[in-house]
Amino acid sequence: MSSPKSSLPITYLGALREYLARPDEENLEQAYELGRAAMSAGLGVFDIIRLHHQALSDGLLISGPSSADPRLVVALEIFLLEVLSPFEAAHRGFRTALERLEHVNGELNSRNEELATSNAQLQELSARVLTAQEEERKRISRELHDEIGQALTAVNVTVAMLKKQAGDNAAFQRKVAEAERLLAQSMETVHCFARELRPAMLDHLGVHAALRAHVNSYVRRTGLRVDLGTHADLARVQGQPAEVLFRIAQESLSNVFKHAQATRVKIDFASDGLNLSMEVADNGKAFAVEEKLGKRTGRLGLLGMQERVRLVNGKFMVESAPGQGTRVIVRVPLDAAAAASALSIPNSTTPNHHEENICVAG
Amino acid sequence: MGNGEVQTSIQSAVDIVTARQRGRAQAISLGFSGADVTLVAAAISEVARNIVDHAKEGEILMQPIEEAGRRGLQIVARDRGPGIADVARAMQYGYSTRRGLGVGLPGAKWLMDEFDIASTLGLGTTVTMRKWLPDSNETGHANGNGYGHAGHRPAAASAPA
Repeated sequence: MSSPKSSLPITYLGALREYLARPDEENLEQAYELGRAAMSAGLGVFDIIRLHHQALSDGLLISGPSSADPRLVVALEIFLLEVLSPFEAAHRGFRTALERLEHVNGELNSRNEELATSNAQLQELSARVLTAQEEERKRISRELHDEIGQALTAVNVTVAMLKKQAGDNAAFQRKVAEAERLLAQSMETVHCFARELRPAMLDHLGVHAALRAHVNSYVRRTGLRVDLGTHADLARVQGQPAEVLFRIAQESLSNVFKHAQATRVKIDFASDGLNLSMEVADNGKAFAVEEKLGKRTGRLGLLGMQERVRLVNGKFMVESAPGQGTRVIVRVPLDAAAAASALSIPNSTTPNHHEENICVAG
Repeated sequence: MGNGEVQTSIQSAVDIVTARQRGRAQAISLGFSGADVTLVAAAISEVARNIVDHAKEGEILMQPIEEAGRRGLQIVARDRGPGIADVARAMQYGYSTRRGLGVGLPGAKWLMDEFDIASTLGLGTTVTMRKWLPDSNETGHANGNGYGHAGHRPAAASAPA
């Protein structure tokens, strides 16, 4: 750093001359300091070799002693090594640092592999949980419909018989009418529960019919205005992707009712022939998506949606901005193979809680 | 000093030359190759300069050593200067008050086979470094913990080169 690059040829030749004239430690130390300065100035080993040879051809071999002198050859080598030793130190330092880096890199790689493995395990677990949940809902839905529904129907028949037997007894007639009313209400609630848990329509009439029925019931119960669009490609969405679309619409509508303080919801569909996307947009108050989705404190609803969409290799997005409401966008593959779940278990999707509230709201 | 120990007082740049000369002479008499002799002199330059630049005065002790059938040269640089507050940082790559790569205490460490540094604020710094003759042990300088018996192995910044 003390010697500018341009003065180094002269300095090198001068230092070498002095050393050859008086080969002592002081002049060797000068050579070492010259090497340090050259390195600090940004010179490389090649530059030093070039300086060395330039010094030989410029000065020494012409005016100096014969190059055949073996003592001169040794002295020249000692001088050159002295100048090069800072470079040797740096080189060894790099080598040590590189070995450590390689070691650390190896550890990082194995950590990454461990993480990838446990991540895959978590995803599989999550898929299993979602699948099991859906199966359970289906079972409960069926039980509700078949067992409780049938029992209530039987009670209804009995009540109808009692009604006939009541005759002119006005008090008795009133009691029977009250029982009939309660019974009808209970039957409606049971069927609503069964439908929310697992709409039979989804399997028999497709996702759009199931959504229309759900939206009609939702509008009746909540008083919100819902515009449900449609798309020809909806007919191609079946099985798991159909369940995902339905569950996400269901969960989104439930969220809008419970949290958004909105008055309108729009459900639209679009398709590019490979993927079908659905957008559920409301005009309510926004929320911080990142907080809900990214952090552990987030509500399970959005995370659950995300997991379900991943099960069918789809895409999931939530946008929320003050004054613009919230948009939930989900995209699922139309090709059944592309939508094949990681678990290849049919009928998986999820749940969610709050549907009860909507069922009893009416 | 009966075991061939050579002590050189370090107070100014002139003493650096003296220490290098004595280290070189010892290395040559021990049988080190020309290249290794040069590297020993370079390492002495760095520890000696560290004393001159940071501690004003100190000393360098050199002696031939023998351990587990191998022979080498031990160089101890000792000062009663201000000490180094963060030894680990001082030994980090590229750290040097004089700037530049391959110089300073890390440079000395890389040029020797073993390097230990012990520093106490207000009391000073002791650098102990060793270079083994390559043919004196088949595994070279693999045994980096040859300091145990001396009882001055510091807690920080100890690693074989």
